[in-house]
Amino acid sequence: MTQIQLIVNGKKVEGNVEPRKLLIDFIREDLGLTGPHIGCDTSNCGACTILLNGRAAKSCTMFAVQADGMEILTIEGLATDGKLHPLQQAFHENHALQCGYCTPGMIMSSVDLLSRNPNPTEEEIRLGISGNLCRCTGYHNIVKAISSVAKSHIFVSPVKKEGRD
Amino acid sequence: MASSVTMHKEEARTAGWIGKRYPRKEDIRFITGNGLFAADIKLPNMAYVAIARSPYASAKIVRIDKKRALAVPGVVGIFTGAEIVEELDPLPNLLPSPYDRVRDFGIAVDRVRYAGEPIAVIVAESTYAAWDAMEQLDVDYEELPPVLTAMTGAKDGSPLVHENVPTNVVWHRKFTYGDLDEAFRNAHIVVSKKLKWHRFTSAPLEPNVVVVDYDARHGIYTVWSNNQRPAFNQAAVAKSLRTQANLLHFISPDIGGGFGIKNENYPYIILLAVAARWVRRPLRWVETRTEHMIASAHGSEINYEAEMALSKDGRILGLRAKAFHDEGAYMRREPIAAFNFIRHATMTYTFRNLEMDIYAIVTNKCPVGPNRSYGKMQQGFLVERLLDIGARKLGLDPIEIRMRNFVSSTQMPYETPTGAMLDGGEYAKAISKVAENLQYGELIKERDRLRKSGMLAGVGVSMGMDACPINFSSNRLINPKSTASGESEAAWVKIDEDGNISAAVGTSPQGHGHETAVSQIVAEVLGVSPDDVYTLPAFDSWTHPSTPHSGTYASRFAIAGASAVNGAAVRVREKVLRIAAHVMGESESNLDIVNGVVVSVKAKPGVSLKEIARLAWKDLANLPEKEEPGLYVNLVYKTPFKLPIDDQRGNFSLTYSYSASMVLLEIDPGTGMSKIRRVGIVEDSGNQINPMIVEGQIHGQLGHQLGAALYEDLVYDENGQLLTSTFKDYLAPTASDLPSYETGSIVTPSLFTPLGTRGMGEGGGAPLIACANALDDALTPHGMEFDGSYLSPVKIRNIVKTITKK
Ligand code: FES
Ligand code: FES
Repeated sequence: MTQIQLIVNGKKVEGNVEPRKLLIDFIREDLGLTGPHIGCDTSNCGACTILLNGRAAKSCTMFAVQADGMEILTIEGLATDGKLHPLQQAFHENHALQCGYCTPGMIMSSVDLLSRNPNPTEEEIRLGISGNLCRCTGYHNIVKAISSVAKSHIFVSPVKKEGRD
Repeated sequence: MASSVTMHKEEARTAGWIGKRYPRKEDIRFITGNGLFAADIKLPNMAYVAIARSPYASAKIVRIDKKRALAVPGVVGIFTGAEIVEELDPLPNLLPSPYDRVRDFGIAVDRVRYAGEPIAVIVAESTYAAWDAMEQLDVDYEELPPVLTAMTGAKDGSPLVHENVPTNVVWHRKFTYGDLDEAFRNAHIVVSKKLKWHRFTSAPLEPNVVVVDYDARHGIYTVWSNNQRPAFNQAAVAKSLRTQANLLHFISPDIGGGFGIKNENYPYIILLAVAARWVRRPLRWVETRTEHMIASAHGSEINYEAEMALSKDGRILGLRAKAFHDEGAYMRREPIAAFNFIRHATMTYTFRNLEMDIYAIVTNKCPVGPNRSYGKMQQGFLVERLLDIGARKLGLDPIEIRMRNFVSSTQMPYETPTGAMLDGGEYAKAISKVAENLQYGELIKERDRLRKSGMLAGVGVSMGMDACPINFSSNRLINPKSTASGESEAAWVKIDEDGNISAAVGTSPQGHGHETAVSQIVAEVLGVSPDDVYTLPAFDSWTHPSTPHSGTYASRFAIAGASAVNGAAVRVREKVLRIAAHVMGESESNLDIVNGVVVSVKAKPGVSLKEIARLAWKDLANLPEKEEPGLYVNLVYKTPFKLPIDDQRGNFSLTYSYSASMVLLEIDPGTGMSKIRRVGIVEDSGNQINPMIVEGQIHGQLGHQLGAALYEDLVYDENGQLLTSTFKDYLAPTASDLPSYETGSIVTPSLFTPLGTRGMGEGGGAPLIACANALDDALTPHGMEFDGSYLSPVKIRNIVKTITKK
């Protein structure tokens, strides 16, 4: 067992984990944050996407011990002061989710995308979320939601600048 | 080029809440990470399950030695198939004798029949420990030669998949309507073609999950699973477990997509139930993606040998087809996929002569099961491909040939030769509209420009039909011993003593937005806002109403679910008005409910619903004499179905949504890769409860259908190993693989449903078929044709090589 310390959604957390435990399992099972999901076993689907030190990461692709000392933001920490993040609001308004299983990962990837590129073209949006699979929406309304946030310049990065690499 | 993000073009709408693009109520929990999915369930003292599976497609299990595996730290118990089935009756199967002898328990006993078939249930303190133990489980197999295609399985002398039945052809029926000889005698041309429908899967993003807790005090199993029709499956599970359905407490929380596949996870419920009872601990099993791909339920795989007779002016005179269905190793719902052609065998067309000769053949592959547009898109593929080839041979435009064959709106309701009663629609308008939306003429010019620039390019059109829901009397045509008929759904609506309104329905949605749609229906009837209606989420057999047909499958919500909840709300409304009439001294016919207040046309002061509710529940002496207390109606809706007309005809669906799709396809001759430059669809699902949700369903169809046409293929090697068993090789499309969609709708109300709605969601496969037609359009100028539903880059590349050699 290995001792780890991280900041998750702004709070200090500690864990005692098997070195082989995947970060997604630590987040879901040990921390009880079940927003990030698991949809594959080959790092393809992005359902497990979180922000790790400000950048989107697939939390099934690394061990919990590798995240020791890092800062994590999951979907649960995205809304601030009871207010939805503009991307959450846009997903709702544009019917960009059906079953909602891909949604937490999809939104976190979109956060990363708009942080890096506040004015993406449709093609850049599609490429930007191409690490995340959705089986329900055919992506049409997801693209629309992200583009609506970009076009109205309401995106705010949930990550403090110094936290970014 | 496709505009950036196209808006949905919409025409008619009904007044009030039904027909509004009302934002979904369920969204908030999902966008904040607060959805409750089955894998999120954690119970005190829970243990975790891994399923050991066969590495071979066909083999005898000689010996299973658990010793080393049991010694792995954290292991709680290991149970082999042979041990578990001692406690079980086999799963039900629809097949007539002697094929009803096939014994299926959802776990292998002494023989494995597909790679991935469960052989043992491993229980441990963590999933990691369970997988460790799985690696230490010693199993000796004796390999047998596998049967890997329908065509080889059907041959005399083929190895048998099930040794206790005489042949792998476990179901065969020839259905004949009209006079085929006459039709083919009169034909100007006959299009003969072998076609291949490829195996793919809708692969929901959330894999299967089962959690079982056994309560020994009451003998009750509480089951949390992502089964998409828990109430439907309850009886089969109870029977197999040798218990009663009312001792199964079934909960389907939020479900991460189903698409039919999650009808079929009930065998795991049974395995976990036995194990949970034995270890006396709650158990959780979460399928991995690989397990899902190799062993959940695949879509059907068909070889067609078909011919279509056409007149000189392009009228279809007759269609004759042999269909060989590769069913995989077990027939759980099958041969329904093979049989489903019957729902709308002649599609949107008027031809009367049809012969379908159907073979259902078991093979050593993953079992086939329901997959979005189950058996329906396949029939569309057969008819639409042949018709398209016919158009080319006759020198007719593909839209024109369809126009000449459509059932017209003046013929509605129209009875097809198989007895389907088409419930209205304007087929010609749909195809005209998609042509108009995509500017067909311009699209052809664009295609020609692409061709000049050295690309292969084609334009394809197709119709699709989505017949729903299921009249279970159709089972009688599969097995004359079946006594089922019709289908039903249950709902309740309640106004409590404080005036709070709740509703529940048995449909267990998987992303369909039923909380929103149900709230809209109830709000419309009760004169309140959808925000005033709390619709119970998910499904829980102890709180939700249900019938043996409940669930969301076969695109049935807008028919059965909506009608049930509408019916319950109407009865609550009637009672509200009776009580109000009594206290207001007014006649019911003068009353209406507006914004939560019962008002009279005579402009007297109104009485609030809240006040009526108080009276109904708490001031009983003031109720009208004959009125029962309360405002609570539980209603079971019977979808109006009849018995079959004869042994091969009947109306087995109530509504027939249809769509027309058009694509412009570009194929890189160097790589054989296809790309969709434009895609449009126009669908008519009758009155829409929530057009935003309807449109979302159409987007979802497009994602699945275009993915299936261009990227998704379940490929087995010569040993029966699935080669495309992960999202690395099973190429579920990403956002950058797909274009934006140009969708539209027309609305002709269904003639047969209370709200004029049609079932929709699954779609009829039009976009997929349009892709296949477009590929042919690209190849025929070079004298080549294509035969498949999967636009395989390898095959296309080989065709291109032949073209360049010429
Ligand atoms: S679960 Fe992490 S990428 Fe699929
Ligand atoms: S909404 Fe279901 S997978 Fe994206």
